[in-house]
Amino acid sequence: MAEEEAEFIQKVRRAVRLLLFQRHRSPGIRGWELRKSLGKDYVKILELARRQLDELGLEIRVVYEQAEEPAKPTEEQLERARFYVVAKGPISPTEAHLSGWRVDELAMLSVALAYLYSKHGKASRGEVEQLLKEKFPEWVVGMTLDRFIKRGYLSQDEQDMLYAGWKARAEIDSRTLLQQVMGKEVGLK
Amino acid sequence: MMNRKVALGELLRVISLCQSVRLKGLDPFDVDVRRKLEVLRKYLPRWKTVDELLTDAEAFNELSTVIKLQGDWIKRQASMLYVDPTLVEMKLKLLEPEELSRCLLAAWRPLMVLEQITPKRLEEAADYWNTLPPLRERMRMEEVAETSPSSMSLLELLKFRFVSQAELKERVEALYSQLRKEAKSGRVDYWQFVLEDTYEKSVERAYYVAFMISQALATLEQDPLKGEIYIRPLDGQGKAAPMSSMPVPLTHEQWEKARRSGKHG
Repeated sequence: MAEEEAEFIQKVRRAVRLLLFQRHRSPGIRGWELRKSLGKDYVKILELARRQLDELGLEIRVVYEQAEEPAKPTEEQLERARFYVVAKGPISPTEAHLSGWRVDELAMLSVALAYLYSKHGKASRGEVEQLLKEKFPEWVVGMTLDRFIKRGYLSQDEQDMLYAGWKARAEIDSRTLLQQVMGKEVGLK
Repeated sequence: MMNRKVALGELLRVISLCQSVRLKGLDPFDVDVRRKLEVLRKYLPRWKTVDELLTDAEAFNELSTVIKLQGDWIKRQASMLYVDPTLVEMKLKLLEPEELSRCLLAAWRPLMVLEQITPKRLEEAADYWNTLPPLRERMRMEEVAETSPSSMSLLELLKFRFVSQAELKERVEALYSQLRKEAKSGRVDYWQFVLEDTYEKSVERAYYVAFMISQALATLEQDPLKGEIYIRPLDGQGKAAPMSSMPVPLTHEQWEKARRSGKHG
C-alpha cells in the first residue's frame, strides 16, 4: 500500500515536471505524451498535480484541437489536446512591463483579440488593421500584427483571415477579455 | 441546353455564396437556405452528366455546411459569451490604450515554463565538454597522401574483403573444369577462353585465369611465330611451373580488337 502511494506521489511529481519543462520548441505537452509517461490513469494524476500547483498560484490549462472547448471531452480529444501550466491570477502592469511588453503592444493585442472573439473567432486581417489604425500608425500596426503571429498569439490563413493563435488560446481568457472591454466605462469627449 | 447552362450557373452561384460565408466569416443567415434548396430540387431532374451531378452534390454539401454554421451561430448567441460585434468595435474605438492594455492583463494568464537545467543534464554537458577536441583540431584539414594508381595483390583484396577465400576457390574450380572440358586437344586459345560479352567480365575471367596459373592448375604457352597464347590445363598435382612471368595486357582497345577478330568463344 505504502509502495503504491509512493509510486503515485512520484507520478504526480513527474507530471508537474513534464508540464513545466519545455521539451520542444513550444511549451506544454500533449495528452498522449502524458499517458505514455504516466500511464492510463494520467487524468487522475493530473488532478492531483492540479491541487499541488494550485498552492503555488498556478493552474493547468487544457487547449483542445477544436476551437470550441468540449463540455465532456472524449479520451481521444484529451490525448490530442495540449496541457499547459498558466498563472492562476492576472498579472500586474508592472509584471507585464518587466516581461518586455509595452502598453501599446498590450493594447493592440487586446483590440485584435477582443474583435476576433466578438466575430466568432475570425476576421479578415484588413478589418483588424482598419480598427487598429484608428489609434496606431499604419506601419506599427502591420509590424505588430506580424509579431503577434510569430509569437503564436494570432494565426493567419491563406485567405488573410486572422484567428486567435495557440498562445492566445492557452493564455487569454476570452470571456474575461470581452467582459472587461464591455464593462469599461467610456469617457466620451 | 440553354436552360441547363443557366441552371448550372445558378448552382455555381450557390456554391460561391456558401464558400464566401464559410471562409470570410460572414453572417450565415445571409444565405436563404430554404430558397437555395428549392433551387437545387427544381434543377435536379435536368442533370444528366456526372459533372453536373457532382456540382449539384457540392452545392448541397456547401448548404449543409451553412446550416451547421447557423447552428453554431445560434449556440454562440445563446451563450454568455455573445456580445454584439458592432458594440465591441465601438467600445474598442473609444477606449484608451492604457485601458485596453488593462483589459488584456485582467484576462491574461501567462504560460509558466521552466528552462532550468537538471544535474543529470549538467553532468552530460560536462562530459561532452571534456571529450570535445579543441576547435583548431576539429577545423584542421585532413591531410591526404597522394598515391599513384597501382594494382592490388590478391592478398590485399582478401584483406579488404573485396574477395572472399571461399568465393575465389569456387570460381577458380568452375573455371578450371570449364578449361579441362574445352581443352580436349590439350590446350585452348587464351583469348578465346578469356573473352566475354563485356570488358568487365573479360577482365574478371583473366584475373581468375592468372590465379589458376599461380596455383599450378594451368600454364600459359606462347607460339613465338604466330604470337598466339594458349592455356593448357594441368592436373594440379605437380609442382608449379618454374617462376616466369608472361604479361598479357588486357586494355579496352585490345579487348575490342580481340572481339572483332572473332576470338570470342
